[in-house]
Amino acid sequence: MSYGAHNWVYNMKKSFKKYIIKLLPVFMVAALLIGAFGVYLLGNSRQLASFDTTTQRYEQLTRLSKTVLSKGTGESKLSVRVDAIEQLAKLNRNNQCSGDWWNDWQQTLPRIKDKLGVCRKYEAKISTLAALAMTTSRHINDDAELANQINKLRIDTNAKNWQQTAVKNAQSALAAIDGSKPIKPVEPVKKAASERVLAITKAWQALTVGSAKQDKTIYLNAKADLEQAYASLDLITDVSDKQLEGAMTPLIEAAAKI
Amino acid sequence: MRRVCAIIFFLAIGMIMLVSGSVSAAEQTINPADYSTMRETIKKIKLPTIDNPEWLKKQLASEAAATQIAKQAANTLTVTYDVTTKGTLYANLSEFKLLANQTLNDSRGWARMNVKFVEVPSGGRFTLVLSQANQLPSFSSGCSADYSCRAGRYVIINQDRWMGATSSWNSAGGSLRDYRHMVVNHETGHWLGHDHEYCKGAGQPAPVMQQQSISLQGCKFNPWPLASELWSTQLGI
Repeated sequence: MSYGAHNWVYNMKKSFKKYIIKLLPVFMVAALLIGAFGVYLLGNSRQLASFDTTTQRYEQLTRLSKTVLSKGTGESKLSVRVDAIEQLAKLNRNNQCSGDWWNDWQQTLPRIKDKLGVCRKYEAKISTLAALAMTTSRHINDDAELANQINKLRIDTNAKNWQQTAVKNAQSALAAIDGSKPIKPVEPVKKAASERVLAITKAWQALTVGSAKQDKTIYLNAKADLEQAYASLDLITDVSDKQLEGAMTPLIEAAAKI
Repeated sequence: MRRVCAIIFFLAIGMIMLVSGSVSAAEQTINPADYSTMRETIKKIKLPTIDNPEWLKKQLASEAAATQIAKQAANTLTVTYDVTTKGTLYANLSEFKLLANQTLNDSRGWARMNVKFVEVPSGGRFTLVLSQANQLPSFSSGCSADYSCRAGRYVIINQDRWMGATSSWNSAGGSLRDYRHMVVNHETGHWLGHDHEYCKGAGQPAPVMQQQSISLQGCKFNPWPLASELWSTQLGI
């Protein structure tokens, strides 16, 4: 290469650097603007996606509420309703409406603002109903657990030595009931169940004593007490119904308003 | 006018919708059975029938029997009678007294009316007499020396019949012991208020108030009162 050509190349490089240096701020501003727009789009999509999640959860809440309020008798229908309450209780109660720290400002934009209002309304309902369902679900489960223990009192007369089995089952049920720790509103049910089952175990024991001693008075009194004790199991139902009604009312009322 | 009607119509529809809406909200009552298994669980629990053990069955049965006996004893009417004789006797008086008392209190006899006949030394409600045969007419003109008789408070057993029954009875194959039961029951039956009865049909047991000493009328001899004869105007039964 000749000196002239070499000089020309040198001058071109120098002038290009000057241009670059002069255009750099422009490039930087452009890059910042593109970045900011990207961040805006990303934040916007995340924000809208969170609203969609809330909407989906609210739709689920609506379906479950209808199921909770559904009518129909039978164990299968009962199971469906109780299952719906449990699912309601498990609904995520984390508020999905608040955006990320870096794009909270978007919630001031009119379109997002409107959706945010709806989202917050939905979240409030989800939170209220899920909390109520959680309490109710625990109530139902604790009540069902007591019912499960009481179910041990069922007697199969086809079984060999069914009377001895009935005594053992009653004692086992009593121990399990006394050892249970239900939530406070179910405690009256536990108390009633314990009293009634204790009466049954005592009467069975007295019957056994009367039979062993061949004492007519003890035996017949025990038999009468036993019949009375079994008939009085209905008192547990009364207490259970009353307590359950108290626990269910807020949930049912809230579900009806969905 | 049409507009007014349309407005009224839509207002009415609106009112109905409002009312029905409030009703459905009010209908939101809670049935605990819709959410709880307790009721169904307890409904299924029943105490089966517990049969009384054998020792208790026996005890109760014996108590029931004792109660029944006590009840019967409480309802039993006691009728006293005294025993006497008339004329010369060749029959055993002790045996007569014993058999007469057994007959009167036999569970097949008048005792079925819950009556207990008690012999007393004197002053009974009726007097049972073992009489020499020919002394019978002295009690009443209606009494014959051939048969036994009842005259007023006297129930008179003819000694000859007591010792040998009647030819009619004997020829029918009746035993002396049954004849004695029959004659005591028959004559006491008169005192209780019965008249004579007749055979109700061939082959049937004769009423005790039938004159079986004379003829069985086709009936089978029967020393004991029939169920239809268990009544007494004398005792008010």
